[in-house]
Amino acid sequence: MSIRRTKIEIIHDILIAIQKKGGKIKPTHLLYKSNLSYKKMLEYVSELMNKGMVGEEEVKGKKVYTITEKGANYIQEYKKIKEFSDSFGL
Amino acid sequence: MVFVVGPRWFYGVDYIFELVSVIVGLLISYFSYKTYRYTSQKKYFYFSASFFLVALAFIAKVLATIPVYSKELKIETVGLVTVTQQVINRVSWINSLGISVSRLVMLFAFLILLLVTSKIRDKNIIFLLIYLMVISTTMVSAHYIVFHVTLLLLLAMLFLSFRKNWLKVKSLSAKMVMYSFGLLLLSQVLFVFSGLFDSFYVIGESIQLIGYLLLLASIIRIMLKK
Repeated sequence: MSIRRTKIEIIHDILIAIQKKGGKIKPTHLLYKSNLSYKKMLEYVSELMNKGMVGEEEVKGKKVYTITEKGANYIQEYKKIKEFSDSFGL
Repeated sequence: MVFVVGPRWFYGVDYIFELVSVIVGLLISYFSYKTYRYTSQKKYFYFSASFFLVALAFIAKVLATIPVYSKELKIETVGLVTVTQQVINRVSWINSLGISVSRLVMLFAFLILLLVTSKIRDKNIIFLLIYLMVISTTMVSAHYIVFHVTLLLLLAMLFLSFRKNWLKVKSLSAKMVMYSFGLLLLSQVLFVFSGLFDSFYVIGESIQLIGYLLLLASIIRIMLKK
């Protein structure tokens, strides 16, 4: 039985997927790596872009998503956030 | 009427105890707010607000008792009956207001915490709980007992919620959170009966301090995680 991911886990998975691809990822790769529906992935990416955790660039005429410093900070903080959330059952 | 509980030698010592609770409240509030900024999930905002209110309630309690403790000194050194009477009246008014604000804020804080951790979303239930809490703490004559019994019930429900969470996640931090709320619950039991014995207030404050220190240890442990 699969366990439903929390929002903090999904954000982490998206950012890790970008980081593992050298900081830049194509939308199709991110869709595959994030394990989300296309609509959900766009929603999350849009929110992360608004928060300044993900950026958008054009490489050879194609759109790619990039990870920002703030996004990298989230990955660093992830374990703390997850443990904090789990400790209080949030 | 002036609200001061516990033996005279303990006056002022409890400030140090409350200060620890303020630090713990602000630290958890800050960490939860930081998580809210990352995720935009309202539960982290409310969680942050609840611990901020806990800190605020302790600050209000300290501010309310400072004039009472200093008044004790004034009576001894000046000794003028009329002047002292005026001081007592003013002190009594400040103390009553401060303590009432402190109690209401404290109950709101733990109610928000319970609503967040128990995932209660129904607005009608939330409204009803707030209404009952305000009525039961402001419209009764036995404020002191009703406040501590209400807080005891809230803490009992929070303890059960954190116990359930610990059984689910089985982590050391979750266990520490559960035990810290167990200690806070125990301290409330002693506060309920502190009117009978002064020592109960001192023991209750000490247990409450250990509870908040345990909570502090768990949050420091989380913050130092790499």
